[in-house]
Amino acid sequence: MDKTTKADRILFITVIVIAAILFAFFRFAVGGTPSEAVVSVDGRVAYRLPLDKDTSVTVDLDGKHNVISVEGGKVRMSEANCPDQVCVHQGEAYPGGPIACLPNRVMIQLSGTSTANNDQPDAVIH
Amino acid sequence: MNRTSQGVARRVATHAIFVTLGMIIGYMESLIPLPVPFPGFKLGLANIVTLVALYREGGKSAAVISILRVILLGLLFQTASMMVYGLFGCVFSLIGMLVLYHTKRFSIAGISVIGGVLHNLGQLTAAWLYLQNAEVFAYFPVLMVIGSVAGLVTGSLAKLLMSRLDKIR
Repeated sequence: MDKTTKADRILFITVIVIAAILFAFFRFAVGGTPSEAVVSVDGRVAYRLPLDKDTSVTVDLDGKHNVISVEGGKVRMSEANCPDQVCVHQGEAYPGGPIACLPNRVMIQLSGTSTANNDQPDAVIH
Repeated sequence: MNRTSQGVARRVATHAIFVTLGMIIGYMESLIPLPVPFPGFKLGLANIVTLVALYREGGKSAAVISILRVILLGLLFQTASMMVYGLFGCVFSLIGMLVLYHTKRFSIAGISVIGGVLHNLGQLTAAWLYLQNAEVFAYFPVLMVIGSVAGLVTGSLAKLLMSRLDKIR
């Protein structure tokens, strides 16, 4: 029990430093400009929603009910029937800041590469 | 009653009290919603009981007491998946706290900090396995800070509690 030791202080500082490095890594290294929101249900990709179009999808499966909506380039969980509602209150997803509805196994994450537009040419030269 | 059976009875009684106290504290904490919309944001006040058990009854008892608490709370008030998250957090934090405790280099503050951080890592690991999506670890940096600050709070509360208990003895 006793007094705070040197090892305690080293541990605490190490934890904070590692947290800061990891935060920067997730926020900037993984980031980039997101172009679509990937919605996974039960560990599988269910929807890929382009962010430039306002839409909403509803997941109704095995008693789960989640509504994911894209509005003005932002994606959020607008409805969920889970008990804690953490996912709804989390607001908008950001790069490195996914939204997870743990009880329903629904997850929203942002992705930089849009497969929705893959069938279109990147550029056309005349 | 001979001496050994008296010892067993005492152990059963104190362990039961520790489990009950942990359950009450854990349940009360779950009733108070925190205004922060972030998954896994909590103080983990029940860890006070685990810490006191660790210092008073030893590592094995602390492990038994906190695992029993999580299972019983899960059966009473939670869904199966919530209980699994709790168990992952509990086992991860116990491993860290017991290792640090046995090095004898850390005070209760350090032990409690590692408990808080590893509790969150355990829950994220459960979420990763359950959602099949490694991106849940993106929450870890924020949860590390939350866990270590929560650990400092619960650690100092446990220290305060034990100094008061010493006076009663």
